[in-house]
Amino acid sequence: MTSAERKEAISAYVFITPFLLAMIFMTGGPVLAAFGLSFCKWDILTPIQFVGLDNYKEMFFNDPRFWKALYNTAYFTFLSVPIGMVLSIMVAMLMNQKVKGIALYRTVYYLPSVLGTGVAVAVLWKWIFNADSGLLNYMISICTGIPMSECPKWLASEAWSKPALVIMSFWGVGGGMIIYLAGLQGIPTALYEAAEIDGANRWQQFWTVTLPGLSPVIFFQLIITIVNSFQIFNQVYVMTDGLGGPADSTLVMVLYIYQKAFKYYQMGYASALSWVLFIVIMLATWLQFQYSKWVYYEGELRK
Amino acid sequence: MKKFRLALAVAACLALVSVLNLVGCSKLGGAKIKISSWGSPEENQILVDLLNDFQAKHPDIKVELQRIPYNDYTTKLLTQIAGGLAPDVVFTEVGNFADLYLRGALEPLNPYIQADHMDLSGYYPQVLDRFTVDNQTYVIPRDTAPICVIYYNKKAFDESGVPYPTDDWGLEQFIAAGKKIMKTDAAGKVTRWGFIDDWVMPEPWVYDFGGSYVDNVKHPTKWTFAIDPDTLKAIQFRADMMGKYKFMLPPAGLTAMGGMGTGDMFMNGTVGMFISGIWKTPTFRQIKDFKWDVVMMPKGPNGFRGFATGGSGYGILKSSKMKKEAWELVKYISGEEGAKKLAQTGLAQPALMKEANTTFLDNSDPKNKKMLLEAVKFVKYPPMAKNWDEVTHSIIGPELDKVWNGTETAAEAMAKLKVVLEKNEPQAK
Amino acid sequence: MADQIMNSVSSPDGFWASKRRIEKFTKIFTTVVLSVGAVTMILPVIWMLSTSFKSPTEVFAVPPIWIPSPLHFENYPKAWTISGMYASEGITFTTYTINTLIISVLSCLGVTSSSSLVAFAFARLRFPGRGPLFILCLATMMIPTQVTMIPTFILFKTIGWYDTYFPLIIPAFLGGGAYNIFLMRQFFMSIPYEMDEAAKIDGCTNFGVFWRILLPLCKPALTTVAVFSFVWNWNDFLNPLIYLDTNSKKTLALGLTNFVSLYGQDYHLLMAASLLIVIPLVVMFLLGQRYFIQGIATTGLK
Repeated sequence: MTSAERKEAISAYVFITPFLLAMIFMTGGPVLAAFGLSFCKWDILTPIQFVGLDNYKEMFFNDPRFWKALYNTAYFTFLSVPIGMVLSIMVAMLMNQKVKGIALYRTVYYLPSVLGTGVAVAVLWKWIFNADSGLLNYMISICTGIPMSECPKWLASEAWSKPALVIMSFWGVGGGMIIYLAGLQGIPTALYEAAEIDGANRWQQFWTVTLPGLSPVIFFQLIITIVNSFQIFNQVYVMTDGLGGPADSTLVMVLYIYQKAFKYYQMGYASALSWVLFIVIMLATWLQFQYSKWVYYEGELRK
Repeated sequence: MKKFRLALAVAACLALVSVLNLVGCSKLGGAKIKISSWGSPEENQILVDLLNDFQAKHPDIKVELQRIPYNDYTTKLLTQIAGGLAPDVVFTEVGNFADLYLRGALEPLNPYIQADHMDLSGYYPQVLDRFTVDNQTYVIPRDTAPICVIYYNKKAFDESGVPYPTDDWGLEQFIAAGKKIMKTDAAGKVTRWGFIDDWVMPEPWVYDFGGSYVDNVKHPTKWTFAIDPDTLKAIQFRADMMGKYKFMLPPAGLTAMGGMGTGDMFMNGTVGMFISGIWKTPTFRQIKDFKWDVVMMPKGPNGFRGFATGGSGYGILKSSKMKKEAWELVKYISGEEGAKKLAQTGLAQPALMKEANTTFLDNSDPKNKKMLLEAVKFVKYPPMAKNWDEVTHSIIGPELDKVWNGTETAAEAMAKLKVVLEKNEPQAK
Repeated sequence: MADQIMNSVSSPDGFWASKRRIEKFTKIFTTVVLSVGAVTMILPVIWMLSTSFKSPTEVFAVPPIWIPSPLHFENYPKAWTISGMYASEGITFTTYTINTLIISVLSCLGVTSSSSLVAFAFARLRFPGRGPLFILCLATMMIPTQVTMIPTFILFKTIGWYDTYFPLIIPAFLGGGAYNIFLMRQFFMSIPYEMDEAAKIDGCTNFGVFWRILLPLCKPALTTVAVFSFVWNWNDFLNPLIYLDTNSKKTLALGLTNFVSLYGQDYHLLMAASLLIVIPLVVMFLLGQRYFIQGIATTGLK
């Protein structure tokens, strides 16, 4: 290394010191512990027992709920992420205008994200999804004329419970909207002006300027929302009282992990489940990075 | 520049540390014991009062109450135990008692009981028995809560011309009443249902029909749920209430309130009968629109009775380093003072018979709560198996969900469960 | 159909030829769509608001009551003082608010400063192990907290941080989490490197480039990180649950659990309390709006 390079490297390490400290002291230990636990049986009240690959064998060959949880999680992710993303971008674009009172609109759209996922929100959504007298079926019956008794039973039905969760996730588009707004602000107006001079109309400008300019942010959001969707927990927990019902139709991976760890006293198995989930997410993320040629960085990573 | 910023950060951290240390410091001398509990505001107040009284009587012992929300009780308790911060006295109920006992976490109390010549005959024997295994007691009971209480809306009965139910009523009368007190509006939508349970509860019916979950509650060796014919009848009955007789709210309407607002449904008259434990009393005393009372659950088909039962009490964790002091506390709060205060709120039937027979039976609503004294004879408890929770919530529950939704018959569900439960063993060791 | 629209948009004498017409239509369209969406967003909140004024029996009335009469204004003070449950200790939602403010503000500062520092290195500096370290960083996002919860708890308890605010604040200063580092990195990468070069030629150090050039250009990103971390900490439930013991230290999210317990739920009070604790966040967001409106972005390197 040249001395300039060495200087740069040292400088870099100083910059990332906080992160390194966190990794070594706060993340490393617990993660390794969780890894070790996955090869053991531990109910917290009695000593840890080493059981080798038993947990994993049980999981893959003897546990239908594991596969159900995996399926439910994938279903939710692959539905809510793409649709949510499109909605967020659309909303962000609408919010990027200088329309009167736009600050108020932005706040209103962000409001749901600020309410969190506590019991209050759960009560609210359970009311909305009530098959007999809830807001959603009421709106459906008004707009399409289908009587409320024929409307989907949402949280009470095995078939409609996951779509209900997906719909609930759309309420949080405000969160994504903020990120995309920040991204839109970062696209130089000069580029738009240049495109207009070249004769591009609004639609063409969107495809040639906006989207590419937004692509680093889209890439980021894609990864983040997929990671988060795979780990969805809070909403499902409060909406189904921790059961993942009806009939395990909303049992998502992290809920299953939580049940095993804190309701059924099986920390070892829960750790094993988490590692499998982790690998799945890693795989999904790696794939996205591999196929990320479409992302255009104005600034580029210094190679 | 860099260094300056680093220095700034370090200084900020130091400032933080000193500020937070001031906030965080509260170490006291003397014997200090910790008790963990959940509870509503009323329960909490009772406990706080008791603890203050106790500390006044025992100036050398300091007691710290750790309130944990009920829904997160096990999570936080386990986390603390894992971290070496377990409480000394633990509030436990019939369900998680088994979990703690089977994992060897509870201190056997006989030595303390005998040393103090404590007279346990004042407690309902059946309730005490739940917390006693192989002649060793582990928990002193605080209250007993049989889930046999049917709250009914007197106004609804009056309007439909149905006589008030009496404690010795049977299933036919129950079904008839349930159907008659229903109300529908002009469009045919039901505005008042006949019956709902507090949460999805097959257990009361299983026990009332003489059914079972295991062969032996304290030392189960196999699951009898799917092979006991009485259990099948009970499940079929609960499904029938919704599907055949149609006076019970089906799950679709229920999930509105998601097991949370069922009591509210009773309170605003959307349902005429409601089954739960006596603990709904303080909330229901707020009802202004109509008069209500309670009646014992109807007898099962053979005239049989059996009530799924809850209840709680105080135990000592084996890990405690201050067991003697913990025992003093347990003795005091499970004693008369506490029972009296509890009885006054109407929240729970004290496990101490004397208080249950007197203070609890005051003239406040519900008027018929004396039937609870009878009810104690028929209490039934959940099986004591390490995997009971998992089996009931993850295996039996989801399958039964399909029955309640009408996508499967009870017989079909039982057939499937039979296969699964045969391979599964209750872990009672 | 899309072609026709596009053609008519760009044809010189179509209906849309007038630029002002296009602008006007866009404005109206925007307003209509936004309003419909806004109603969807806010309707549930309105129900919460209306429920906060109800009496316990009215909460789940069917058909739903939108405007209770009488309006139970007393629900608000009642919720704020938790019905006097902790009167002897002097704890009300004021206590919770102060605690939560301390935690959220400090965390917010920590996150914005440390995540941008770390992200700068990942985006702009070359050093051995950069790739693998970044992957490691991302990987930390992918482990469910439920499972590292207990080992982490044991760790913090061993170093004596139980029942303090340290476990809730210190992590914010140590990178603030992979999410924020990742976000800032992406934003740094969207700024042309030529700007760094220009500054360096002028004799700027790495830190100078960071502090003087990149950070100011990333105001929207920084604001986003700040807002998100503040809101997250404000609403965080799990961490305060397991790390805080003393009543007087508890946070707002924990405070809400006072209204829901095994034997009774006070939904009307819960709604009142939930809305109250959201107000500071909304105000903060409204005020922070101007950092989202950037106006002219990087206009050039000249």
